[in-house]
Amino acid sequence: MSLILCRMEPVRHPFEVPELGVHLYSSQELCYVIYENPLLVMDDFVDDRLIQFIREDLNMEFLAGKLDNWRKSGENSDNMLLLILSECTYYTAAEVSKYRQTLIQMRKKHPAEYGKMKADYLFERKQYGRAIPMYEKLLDMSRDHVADNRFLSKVWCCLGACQARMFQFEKAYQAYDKAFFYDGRNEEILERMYYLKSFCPGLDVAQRYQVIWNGVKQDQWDQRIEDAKKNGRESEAVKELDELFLKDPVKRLEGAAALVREWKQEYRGMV
Amino acid sequence: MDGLVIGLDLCDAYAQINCGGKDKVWNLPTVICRKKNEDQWFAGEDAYGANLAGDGVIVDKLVSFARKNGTVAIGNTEYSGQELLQRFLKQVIALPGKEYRTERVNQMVITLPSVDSRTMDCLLYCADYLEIPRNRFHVISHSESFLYYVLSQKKEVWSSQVGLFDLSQNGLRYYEMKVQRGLRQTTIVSDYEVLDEGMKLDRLDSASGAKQADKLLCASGERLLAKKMFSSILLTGRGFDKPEWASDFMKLICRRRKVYGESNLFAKGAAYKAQDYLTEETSFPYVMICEGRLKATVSMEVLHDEKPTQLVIAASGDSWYEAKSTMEFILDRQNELVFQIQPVDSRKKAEVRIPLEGFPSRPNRTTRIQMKAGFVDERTMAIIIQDKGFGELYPASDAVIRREIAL
Repeated sequence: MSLILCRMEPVRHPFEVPELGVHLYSSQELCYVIYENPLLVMDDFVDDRLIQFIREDLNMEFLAGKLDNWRKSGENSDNMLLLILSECTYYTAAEVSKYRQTLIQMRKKHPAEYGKMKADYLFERKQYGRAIPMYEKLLDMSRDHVADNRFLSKVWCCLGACQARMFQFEKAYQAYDKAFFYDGRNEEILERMYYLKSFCPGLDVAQRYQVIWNGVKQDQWDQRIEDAKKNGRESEAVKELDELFLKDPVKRLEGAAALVREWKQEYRGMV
Repeated sequence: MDGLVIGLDLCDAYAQINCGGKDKVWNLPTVICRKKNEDQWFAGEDAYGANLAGDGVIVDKLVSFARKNGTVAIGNTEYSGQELLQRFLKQVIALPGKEYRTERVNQMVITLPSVDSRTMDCLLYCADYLEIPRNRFHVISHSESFLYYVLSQKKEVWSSQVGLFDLSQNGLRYYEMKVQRGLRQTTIVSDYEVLDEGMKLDRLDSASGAKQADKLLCASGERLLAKKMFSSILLTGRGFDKPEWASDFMKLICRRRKVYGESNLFAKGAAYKAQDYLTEETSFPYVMICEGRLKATVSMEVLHDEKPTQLVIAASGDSWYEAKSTMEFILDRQNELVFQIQPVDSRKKAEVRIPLEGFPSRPNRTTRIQMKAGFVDERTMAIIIQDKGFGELYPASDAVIRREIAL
C-alpha cells in the first residue's frame, strides 16, 4: 500500500494512440499502455512522435535523448520500451523484469503465431480495419509445421469475423468458405456461416452448406440466435437509449449527439 | 534605491513605516478622512487636520473596520472598510516613496498585533489594489517581527532569553523569545501574553494613574522574569517613550539585566524580514515558532523512485498562510490518505486518516488524485482531494473530499 508521487508534466500536446482510441497525458499513462499492451507496442511504437512527446511534453530530456540515440544506432526496440518503464518509475523493478520476460517469450514465438497474436489483439480492440491486412499477410506466409491448413483455416475464420463486424457480409461469407475449405471438419465455421445467413437472409450461400446445415444442430443455433436477440433487447446500451428518449428534448438531443459521437469514434477505429 | 523595502507596523491606533537599511520611521494614526464634497483623501495627522477644519469625514480603527466588513457613507458614496484600508495604505506607502523617490515596492512586510484569516484576506486584496505582486507582499505577527528584530541585533542580546514589554494604544503585552540550540537546527520560539488589554496611555498623564500602571508592571515583571535567565529586556510602544513614570518597574528590570528601548521595534523587525527576502540565502536560518507560524510538521509517506519517503506538506515554522501546496499522487493499493502530524514541542506523532470514500474503483495504479493543502489558521489544515482519473484511459469522476485537520 502506497502513494506514488507524480512529477509535474505540463503536457500541452497529448500523445495519441489511435489503436486504443485514447490520448496520453502523462508518463504514467504511457507506461500503463506499454505494460498492458505489449503486442501493440513491440514493433515501431518508439518513433519520432513518441520521442518528441517525451522530450517536449513530459519534459524528460535525458530519456528522449537516450531513446533517440538508441533508435539511430538500431537498438532493439524492446530495450527502448524497457528503458521507458525504468525511467518513469511507475512500475517496480520486479514488474519491469517480468515485462522483459513477457517480451522475450513473445519474441520466441513462430512468426506466424506472433503475427496472429498481434492481429487477434487488434481484433479484440475492435480495430478490424487494422487487423485485416495483418491476417492477409499471414495467408501469404510459406507453409511449415505451424502455418499449416488448420492455421490457415483459423486465419480465414478471423478474417471472416472482421468482415462480418464491418457489415461486409459477402466478403465474410467468402472468408468462412475458405476457412471451411482448409478445415472441413470444423463445425464452428458452419455455425458462423449459418448466423451470417440468418443475419443477412439475402446472402447467396452455396447449396452444399444448406444441405449440411440441415444435418447438424440447426435448432440449437436458432436457439442461440434467439437468446442473442433477447440479450440485445435487454442490454444496458439499449436501456440507456430508451432512457435517453424519455428525457426532455434538450437533454435528449445532447445525449443523442454524445452517443453519435461515440459511435462515430468507434466506427472510425473499426475501419 | 531599486525599490522600496517596507516594514509596516499596522495597528488600529497607529501605523509605523520603516524601510530596510534606513533609519527614518514614519509614525501616523491609522485614520483616513475624505473631504465632504470632493474626492480628496488625507491620512494620519492630515486627516485629523482636515476633520478639525470641518470639511472632512474621518474614519478610524481602519484594520478592525475592514476586518468586520464595515461600511461608511461619505458624501453620496458608500465605502467599505476594505476600500478605506486600501486608500490608507496607498497614502502610507507614498510617504517613503516620496522620500526615496521611487514608487516601486520591492518587498513589503506588514506586521499586525494578531493575525487572523479575515484580516489576512483584506490585506491581500489591498496588495492587489496597490499592484504589489503577492510574492512581494507578506503579513506577519508582532511576535514574528519581534524575533526578526532581536535576531538582527548582536548575538549577546539574544544569547539567552529575551523579554519585551510593549505598552501602546493596543494595551500592555509581554513577549518572550527562547533560543533552542539543537544539533541540526536552532529553533527560536516566541510567545506573548496580554497583560492589560484595556490599559489606556492617557492614564499615564496623571500621577495616580502612572503609579497604578507602574505597580501593575512591577507585579507582572516579578511574575514573568522570576527564575529565568535573560540576556536582555526590551521596551517598546509609546508608553515607554519617556519611562520616568515607571521608576519601580525600571529598577526591577534593570537589576542584572541589560535593558534596551526601541519605539519602532515591530516596524523595524518587519523591515528586517522584508530585506531578508531580497537575499538569496536567508540571514535567519532558524526554525521560528511564533504566532502566524505552524507549530507542527505535517507529512505523508509516499513512494519516490520506489523508495518510501516522508513528504513534508508543511513544516513547523512555516507561515501558515503561505504554506499552500498542490500535489498529485497515484494510488497503489491504497484507499486512504494518512497524514503524520509531529508537534514541535512533543515527540508523539499523531496520525490522521482520510478514507477516499466515493472514489470510483479502478484497476490498481490507475487513479490519480490531486491534493491541495492550505491552512485556515495556524492550527487547522484544509485539504481538498480530487479524483483526476487516469487520462482518457479511466476518465476522472467528480469525486471530491474536503476536510479540515486540527493540528
